[in-house]
Amino acid sequence: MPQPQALAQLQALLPPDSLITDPAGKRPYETDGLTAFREVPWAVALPRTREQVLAILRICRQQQIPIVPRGAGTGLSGGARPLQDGLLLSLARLNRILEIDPANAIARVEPGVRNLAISEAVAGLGFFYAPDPSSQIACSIGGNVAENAGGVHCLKYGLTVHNVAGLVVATLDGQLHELGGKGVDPLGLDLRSVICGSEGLLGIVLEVTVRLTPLPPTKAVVLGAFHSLAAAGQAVAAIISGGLIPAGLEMMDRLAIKAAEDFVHAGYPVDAQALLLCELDGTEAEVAADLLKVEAAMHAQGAFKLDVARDAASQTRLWAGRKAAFPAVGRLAPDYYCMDGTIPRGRLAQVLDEISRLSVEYGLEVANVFHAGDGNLHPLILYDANKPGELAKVEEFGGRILQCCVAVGGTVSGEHGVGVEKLDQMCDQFTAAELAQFARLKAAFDPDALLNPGKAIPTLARCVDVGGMHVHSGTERFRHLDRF
Amino acid sequence: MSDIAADVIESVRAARAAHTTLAIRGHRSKVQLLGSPGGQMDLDMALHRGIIKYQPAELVITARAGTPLADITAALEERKQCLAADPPTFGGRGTLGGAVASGLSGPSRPFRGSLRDCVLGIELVNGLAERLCFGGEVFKNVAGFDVSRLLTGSEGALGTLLSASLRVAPRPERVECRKTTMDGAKAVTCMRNWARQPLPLSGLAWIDGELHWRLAGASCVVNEIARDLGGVEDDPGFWTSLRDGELSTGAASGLCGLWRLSVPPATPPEPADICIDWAGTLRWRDHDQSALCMPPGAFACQPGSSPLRSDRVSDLVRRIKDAFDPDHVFNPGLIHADTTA
Repeated sequence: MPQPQALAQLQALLPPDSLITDPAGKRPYETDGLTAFREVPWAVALPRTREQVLAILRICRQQQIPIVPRGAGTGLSGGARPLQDGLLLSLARLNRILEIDPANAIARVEPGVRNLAISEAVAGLGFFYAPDPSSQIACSIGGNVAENAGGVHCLKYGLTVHNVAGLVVATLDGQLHELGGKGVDPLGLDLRSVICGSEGLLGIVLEVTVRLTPLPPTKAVVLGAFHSLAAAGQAVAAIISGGLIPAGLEMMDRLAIKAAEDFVHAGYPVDAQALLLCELDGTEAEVAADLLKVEAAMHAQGAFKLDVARDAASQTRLWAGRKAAFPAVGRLAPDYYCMDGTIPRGRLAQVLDEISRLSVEYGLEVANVFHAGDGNLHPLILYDANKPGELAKVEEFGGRILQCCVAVGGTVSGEHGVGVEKLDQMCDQFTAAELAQFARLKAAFDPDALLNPGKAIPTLARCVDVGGMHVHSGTERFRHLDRF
Repeated sequence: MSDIAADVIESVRAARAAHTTLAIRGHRSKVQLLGSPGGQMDLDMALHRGIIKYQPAELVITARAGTPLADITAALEERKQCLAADPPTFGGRGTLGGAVASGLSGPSRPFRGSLRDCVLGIELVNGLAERLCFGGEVFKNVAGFDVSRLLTGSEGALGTLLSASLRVAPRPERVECRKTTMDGAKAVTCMRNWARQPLPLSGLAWIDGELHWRLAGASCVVNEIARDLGGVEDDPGFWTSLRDGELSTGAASGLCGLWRLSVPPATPPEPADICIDWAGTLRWRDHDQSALCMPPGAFACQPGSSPLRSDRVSDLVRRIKDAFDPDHVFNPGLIHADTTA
């Protein structure tokens, strides 16, 4: 546990409302969106300025106190789980939009600015910030950078890393690093790339310069219903091979369709084994041309129902079922466990067959929702945590799904991050030499190993036994957020 | 097709044991632009070539580092696909490994993303002679640090690439090249105005008093927008020459003797700006300007010697170099990490 001297230094630095040390005050910070893991931190700091953050880093380095950075705490892999002997450093109060520069199509913001707040601030200028993780009304841009957040539209518009032009990052030695800026692609090492998705292990993000994208003039959403998952998978392949990159391309299986329809009455055909939702955007002529191609591809693969939404109201209705899929599935069983792997699109049928086989083997039902366009799979395993042994069974089942993702050439995390959740699966995906290379890279940024220790990169000595995203009887945090 | 990975690993191991340094080389297509790496022995990657896997429906191609880009684009062409970043090929000699290591993108960069944006995974041999894989063949992947992107543009300072997987894009149905006469200041205003609209641009550059633009996409869209934007027909070869730095202009013979720098795209042009590419972001500026006036990451090649660079050495970059190549086996002197190490 840190020395009393450290506390005195922090108290001298920060106003009373920016440092929380009492147990009740610290309680809300004991977990992030992955509620299975809880720990009350030694203290919580809520700085308002960059100078305060740098001073906190100096104190923590001097006193050798581990730091867990936190954005809005919506992450799903436990990346912001506190440490008992560590400082939880919330960046939520650094929440100013510093500059909107329409001529250069960028905005400069502090890390605590909410993702959606950026799009709202620039909509009047004809722009939006493209990455749209499901928690976008609450999650912060700093957290998005740390997790390299994705979303429904990243097939066309890219992940966070593709939409960040510049970063100001503090390393624990108190150095500020200006990485990139309003220009692009300077010659030399691109450190923005390793900061994006580094889960708070390398530095503290103090400022983000994001790229703004022109708002598309028009959109259309197509729903296609299929008698088999394989046919829907082939339709996805046909759309992509046909030269289209849709703004979004989502798939749901029978159980997910039925759950969503029962929950929000989106008008989904409940007799379908698989459903595709495809969003197209661009100019009127572009969308019209693309629509013909998508309809033809779905038809050719045996879609028995096609529904095209051209106006905003019917588009919202079609998306409603997909966006409510997680809570809808949550109504089918006391608990569900959400996985997050990515696979090559062509292996979809094979992986879903394997999941079905495992489902029978473990005696647990699975609903599948899938960012089909980019191969990101979210199987939801239904279970009851009150049944003795069932949780352990689910964790084993989930681990085998991720192993299967790796075996077909995929990855153990598409967008939720590794955090504490997938440390053991990292050992499946990477060799000892690769993990050691990660560790040396971490040490180049953080030689004292004080930034978010124990997350994202497993030590060679032990691949810890961890759980997953557990939701019990509607006690999921941020239940008002769509999860998709 | 040939796989010399085992020989490469052995060469790195031997060099490390003998305390010698290696200069990674392919077909030396970028020597004029980026200079020559200064190792004591050549590590020739050109023989490590061949497409390992191409899955058009997955939008991904994996090839060995020594594979000529021309072979890759030809394979993609057969399936109506392309490399969205359109990296320079320098007359077809450039290899995949060289393209990834230099991280250079072509004129479509502001509209279709950079080469770095296309790199999904890489396989490398680091300075410890270890064969390592990072990333993979899927677009969405947040497992571990993004070493693939870090390696892109690292100029061989961290290790030698064995292979890379790139995201590919559908080939546009129709391409239309147009141009019009315009001065530099007006051109920058026009570029920013167009970049704010959802136009199917894949090139927007100014040189020698002319604004050039390239439209690419569905025929109906390209035809309509081409009509709206006006201008006169342009030679599509302009864009290949611009990409490969082969244009000779009224003010310079080839872009190679100029500073290449990246600026906020709306920056008004300076009289020394000979060429403005990437919708305003990329400037080719007169060579007489001092490096001190340049933003980080700018460079200017000098015939017969290493390019001038504006970079300042950072301790962090030096530590990253040490994390991958602790004995400084690879490309000494090429990247700033080594200049003071």
